[in-house]
Amino acid sequence: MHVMSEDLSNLVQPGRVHRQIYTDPAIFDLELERIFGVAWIYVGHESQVKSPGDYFRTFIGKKPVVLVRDAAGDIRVIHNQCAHRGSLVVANDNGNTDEFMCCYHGWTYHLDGRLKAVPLQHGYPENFDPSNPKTAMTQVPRVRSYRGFVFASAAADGPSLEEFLGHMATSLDDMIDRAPDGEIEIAGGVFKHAYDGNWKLYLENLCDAAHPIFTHRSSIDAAQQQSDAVHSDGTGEIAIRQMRQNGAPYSFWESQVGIWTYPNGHSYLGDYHDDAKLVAALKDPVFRDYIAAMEKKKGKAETRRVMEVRRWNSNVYPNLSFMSQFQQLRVVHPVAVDRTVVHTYNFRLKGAPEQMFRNTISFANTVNGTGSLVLTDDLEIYNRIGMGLSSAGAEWIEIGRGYRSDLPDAHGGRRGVNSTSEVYIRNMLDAWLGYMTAPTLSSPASGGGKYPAA
Amino acid sequence: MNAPAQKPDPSRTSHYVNDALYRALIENFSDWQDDARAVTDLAVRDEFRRLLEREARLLDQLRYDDWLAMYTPECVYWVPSTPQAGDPRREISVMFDDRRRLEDRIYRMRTGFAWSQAPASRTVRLITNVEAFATARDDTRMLRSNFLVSEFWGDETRVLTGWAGHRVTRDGAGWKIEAKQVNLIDCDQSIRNPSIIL
Repeated sequence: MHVMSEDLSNLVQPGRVHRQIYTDPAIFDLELERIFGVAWIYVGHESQVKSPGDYFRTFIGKKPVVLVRDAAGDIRVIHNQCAHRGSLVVANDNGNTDEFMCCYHGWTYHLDGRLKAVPLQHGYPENFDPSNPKTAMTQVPRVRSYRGFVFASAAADGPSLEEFLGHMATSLDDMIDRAPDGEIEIAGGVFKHAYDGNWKLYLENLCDAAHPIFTHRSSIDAAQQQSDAVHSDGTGEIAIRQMRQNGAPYSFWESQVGIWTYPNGHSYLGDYHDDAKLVAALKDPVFRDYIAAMEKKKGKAETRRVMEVRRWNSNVYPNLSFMSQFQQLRVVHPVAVDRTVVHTYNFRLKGAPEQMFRNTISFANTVNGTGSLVLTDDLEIYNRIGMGLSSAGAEWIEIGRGYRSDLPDAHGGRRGVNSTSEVYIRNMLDAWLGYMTAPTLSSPASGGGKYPAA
Repeated sequence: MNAPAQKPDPSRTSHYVNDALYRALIENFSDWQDDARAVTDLAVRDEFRRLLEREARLLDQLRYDDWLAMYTPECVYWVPSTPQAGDPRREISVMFDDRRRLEDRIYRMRTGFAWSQAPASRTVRLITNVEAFATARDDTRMLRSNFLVSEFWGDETRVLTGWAGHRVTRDGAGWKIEAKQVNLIDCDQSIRNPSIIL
């Protein structure tokens, strides 16, 4: 690998970025090491592992890991790798178990990853010590939950999760605060998407306010021609409103919508989609019931405060994007420099009327559905960018829209003068450059000699 | 000048897809593959086989208006995203379309701006293992068939496969489709941009 820090610094310039960072396999490998191997990576939600023994299989970068609640009820993230010959230990996506057992030679592990038993142990040399913490499904060095959202960092040292999130924690708060009981849980299934393009393209699209009118033109046209005299249930209304909303004119995006960015690459689109536009607000009986449930549990003032938070997609760099108003969450998995997989989840608001979750499902089907009238456009765009960038015909990508009009934000970030600013891409690339050119940090604690020296 | 008439709030005035429809859907699609109810009359089975083959042909030929005419005015097209398809109100679907959404889906493809279908895929569908089952209602049958769709798009040909359940209802001398459930074997996985109608 011969990518030097000076080279990397030259690839991100004011208002433009070199296509190489989306196409170079050597840079992708470095990203796995210097970004996904260091930053706080979203792993899963505590509701996926409610009881001791519950586990959920996922990845940090390309490293297979398991999120598990151990016998004492603590949340752990352990490497999904047998300490014997390296086999993947957990193959099911999720489940409940008393112990983990490798199917190759039967090594078993406690739920926190410690080695439990080794068949034929008498055959190993005398200095083989099953209680050595490295002879284990090793734990990822740092694991923290922010109000149920579990993050892990493969770096033993570094900023705390709270420091890493900064003001973006308020977007996670908004996910939870919308539940009358103050709790949310993952439910309803997982959509899995893949495209032939770089992982960074996904986050760069989710706060892009200038693309819907072109990219989603077909579903905008379809929704606009539909007569309002033909009705389906309320969930049908969610879909049609959303598709029509994508066709709002530029004047809307440039006057009523904003983009906010924060350190470490995070950002959100805000002041978008007030509830009146999507759920017919107080005219909608379901929403009225929901507000009533909120006010009963939280009081009128707090309910009003929560309802006035109007955020669209929030991105926590580098692998998480969520949408608090309709309880959607997407996790980005980098697979190769030109291959990305995205998993999308739905949350149920505890204490809310059942119909609210039905709306969440309907919204998911419309916007994140594998065969949705909207997402299929985006997936096609990612593929086309992937194909386009593979050509050296144009070396530089323009990300300068709004460059001279960005404004400081009250919480230590930068915001665009309006939502069509590409400030969120520049902000992500600033973070990217910071991670990629940082002096070598302490190396990850896991790995190393599995077999201790005599 | 007269002010335009206030449109009624649609969420309160109409429930085109209502709870009764969902209940019937879930009931029909959870407990119907019963050997005791299998239709054994070869002529009747052949009638249903021809119906499914015609549907496949119309979709391969992109004859969406003719295809939609095979469905009842109130209909559901459902591609579950969970291998043991559950309640579509509580579980996500690859596609869950009432007639209005189905019309949107077709309209959209004809705009020329549905980027993942510009140009349109070329498809060939094989329909096999057609079985028919009687239901508690005289005018309703459930059909099960296996399908294999070869789709050429971009620069590659891929295969989408699984089984479909059709709920058909008597319409004069023939039958119309009230609900179609398409069960892809990889419905909960990444299915590269399934933009065609299955």
